[in-house]
Amino acid sequence: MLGENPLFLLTYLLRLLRLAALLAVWRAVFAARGQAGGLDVEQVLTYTLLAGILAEPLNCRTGLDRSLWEGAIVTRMLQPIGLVASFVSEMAGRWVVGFAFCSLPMLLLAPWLGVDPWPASGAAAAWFGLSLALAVVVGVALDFLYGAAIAVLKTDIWMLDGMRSAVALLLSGAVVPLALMPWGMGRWMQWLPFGALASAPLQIYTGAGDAPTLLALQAFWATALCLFGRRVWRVTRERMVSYGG
Amino acid sequence: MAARLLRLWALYAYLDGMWIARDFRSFIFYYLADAVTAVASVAGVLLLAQRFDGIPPWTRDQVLFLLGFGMVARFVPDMMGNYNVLHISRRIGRGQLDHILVQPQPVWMALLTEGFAPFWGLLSLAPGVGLMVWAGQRMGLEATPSWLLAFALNLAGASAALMAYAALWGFAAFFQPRAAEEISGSAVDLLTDLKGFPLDALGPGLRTALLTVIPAGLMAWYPCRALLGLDHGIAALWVTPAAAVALCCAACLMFRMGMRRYAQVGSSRYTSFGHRR
Amino acid sequence: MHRSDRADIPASGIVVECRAVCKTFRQRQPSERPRDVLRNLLHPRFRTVEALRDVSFTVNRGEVVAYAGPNGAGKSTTIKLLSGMLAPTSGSVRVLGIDPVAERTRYVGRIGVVFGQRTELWWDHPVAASYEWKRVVWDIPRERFERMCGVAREILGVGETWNTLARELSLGQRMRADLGMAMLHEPEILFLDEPTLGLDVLAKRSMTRLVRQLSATGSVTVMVTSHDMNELEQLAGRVIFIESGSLAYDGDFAGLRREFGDLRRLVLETDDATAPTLPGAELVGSQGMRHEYRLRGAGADVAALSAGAGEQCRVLDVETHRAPIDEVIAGIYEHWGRQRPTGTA
Ligand SMILES: Nc1ncnc2c1ncn2[C@@H]1O[C@H](COP(=O)(O)OP(=O)(O)O)[C@@H](O)[C@H]1O
Ligand SMILES: [Mg+2]
Repeated sequence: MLGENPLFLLTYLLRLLRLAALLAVWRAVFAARGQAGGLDVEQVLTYTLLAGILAEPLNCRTGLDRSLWEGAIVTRMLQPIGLVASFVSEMAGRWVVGFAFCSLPMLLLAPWLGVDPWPASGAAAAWFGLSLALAVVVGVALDFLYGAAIAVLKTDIWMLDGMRSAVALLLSGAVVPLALMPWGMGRWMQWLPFGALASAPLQIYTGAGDAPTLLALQAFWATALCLFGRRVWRVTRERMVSYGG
Repeated sequence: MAARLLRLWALYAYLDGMWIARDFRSFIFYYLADAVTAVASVAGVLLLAQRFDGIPPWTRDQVLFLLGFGMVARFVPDMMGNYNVLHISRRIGRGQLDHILVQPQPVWMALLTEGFAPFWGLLSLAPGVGLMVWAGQRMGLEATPSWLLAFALNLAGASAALMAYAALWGFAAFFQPRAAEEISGSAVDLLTDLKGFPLDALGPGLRTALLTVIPAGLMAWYPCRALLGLDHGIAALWVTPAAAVALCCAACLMFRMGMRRYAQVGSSRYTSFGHRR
Repeated sequence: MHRSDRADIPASGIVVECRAVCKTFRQRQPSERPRDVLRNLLHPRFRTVEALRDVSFTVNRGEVVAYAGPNGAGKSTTIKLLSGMLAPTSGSVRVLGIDPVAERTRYVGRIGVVFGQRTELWWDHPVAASYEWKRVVWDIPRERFERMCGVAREILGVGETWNTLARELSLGQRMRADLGMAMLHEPEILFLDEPTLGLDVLAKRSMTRLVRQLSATGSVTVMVTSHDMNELEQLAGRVIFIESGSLAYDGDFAGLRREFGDLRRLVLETDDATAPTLPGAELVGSQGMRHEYRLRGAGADVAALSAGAGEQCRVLDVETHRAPIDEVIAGIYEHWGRQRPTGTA
């Protein structure tokens, strides 16, 4: 994969540039004020940097939709390991590449970008680990629900893909922290499952939120979505097998 | 020649219209997905501008204008670039250029007309234009004839820069068909994903890079600075159109080199994926 | 077929002329080892493939020529050279007196090209819309367009799929629609590259019949490639056979048989399940009491052979028939294999 096509590096360059642009915007915004929405500029910059570094785990994509679209799902179902495990392990494999070629360079560039990459405290770091794990569980569950939806709709996934990414990114608070949304939107957005994807772990990391509350909310969404996902999956499973194949 | 171009555009408009008439539901569905994506991808900056009443040195309305400009700058490339014309590396990499070579017309003419789908494009124009008009009115922007001329030139420049940049990378597939098959997709993303950011607070090095090697700054940020008077001086108004001309020349050069090479090496692979659909 | 508007074109004479054509390609040879990733990027290794070497032939107006050879022999490369998609490495290609690459736009308006498994139809549109598209892009006069649409609808049976979306056509229907579309501008030469590839037996047969019908009108020169010799023999009187890029034979099919051995078959029906051994004939196989032999050369005496068999068992029936042309070709391949052990690409 690496030797064949170095194009993925361009995608990583884009991520880096987008991070730099976003950081610049935050600096410009905070230049005139010390604090906003309970966050200071240092926190927001760390928040943004971490959202960039952990872009993949904070917005899980397993490749289920592609697999459904191309009909390759059938071969997956014949594999001895479970469907979820199969997709998750593949996703983790991709993360390793992304981590080596993108996340690590971003982390190393942090001083040059003028951002402090460290967590607010040791306790915050510990809670963050747990929160990140829950975020991945919620992300995978949402991805499978999305897969079930496109299996039912039988629609062109390329069109939906962009929409889904953009909307999820926005609602999860990965671009703009929910506390900094206008019109107090963030107050009700934090109760959506998307908030469990990025907003919760990043708030914990930067010490901007109350860890136990956020973790409890994440745990609730993880349980609820997993149960719901299993049900939906069982109902649509037959349909998925025939889909695209 | 102009008559032929018009005739071909009419033909593709007709095909586009027929497609929509035949499958109106899919059209609405795709269109909504497209619109949501377009709005969501600039929503971050939009929400920030609202919350903090602008992103210094831009006022809120100026940011809205910038976002609208960026959305509209995508309109022409999207309208002209269907059937992977904008993503030409896919066509070249998949060996689909042969389909153009059997047509009794120059390749550039085929490329200039084949991707034309006006009905698709037309609707995505609305939110961008709306944003610009609304922001312009609130700012009390004076649309004098000379300003409108400058506006049109810069908008055309931004669109042309995007197309030329995509083509420049896309023609890389002449030389490395397999490796570069998806390259114009990445190139387009580089420009359009960054188009909504006010880049003023970036360091000078990055800012220069974003105006030259990765000219994302030309998509909206630089032309809007000039148009809204954040940059003083007439010269700034000419930068985007001039850069677009330079990029177009480079793309033409690359195209000629690529075509000459294609006659020698042809394409050993062929997949029909994405062809005329 | 009316050709009043093409009165300036002579009815006979050479239309295709290949002289000493060579075409070489460089193919990347990436190493699979992970530690060679960087070397593959910076210093890729290449191997040179001679797709065509010193190929010369001419085709006359109105001829139907079969262009045969095994996979990878250089058939598609030849078609691409003849249709202006590729320039030869050396040698000259002239069709209708034109250099196909140098004057491509003028040239391709006078030829038609169909690649099997590549379609010119618009996926999400009915066949009729694709035809309309072709009319505008090729600038086809109304009268000719209507007339050729008629040909496509009646002879090729495109009428029944006229309003069907291309994506809903079967492969056979799609190939017929593609063939009809290639004929719309009334090309003087039709290049068909493996037009029956992937078709089932019935669709193949109808395709062959259609090409024969088109060529029977006498106004169009046809060059059709295939690796299926039996099919080509039904289509064309003349066969050009290439192997590993070199022209191996150019003539009629009877000559091909003569040149590479007339492989006749002898079938004996006896009262014994063990086949009698016959000098001068080689046992191919037995089915119960039917035994099939391969005869080498025209000199084998069938009467003497069956008499010889009669001494070993009771002969109930004797029949002879010609080997299918594919077997002739298998013989040719063997022949080549022996001459050039490393020959096939
Ligand atoms: N564009 C190309 N680049 C590199 N090699 C090619 C190219 N086209 C064909 N070849 C090689 O040339 C040889 C002949 O190919 P082709 O003409 O397609 O054979 P055929 O059509 O008879 O099966 C093959 O070995 C093939 O791999
Ligand atoms: Mg071939």
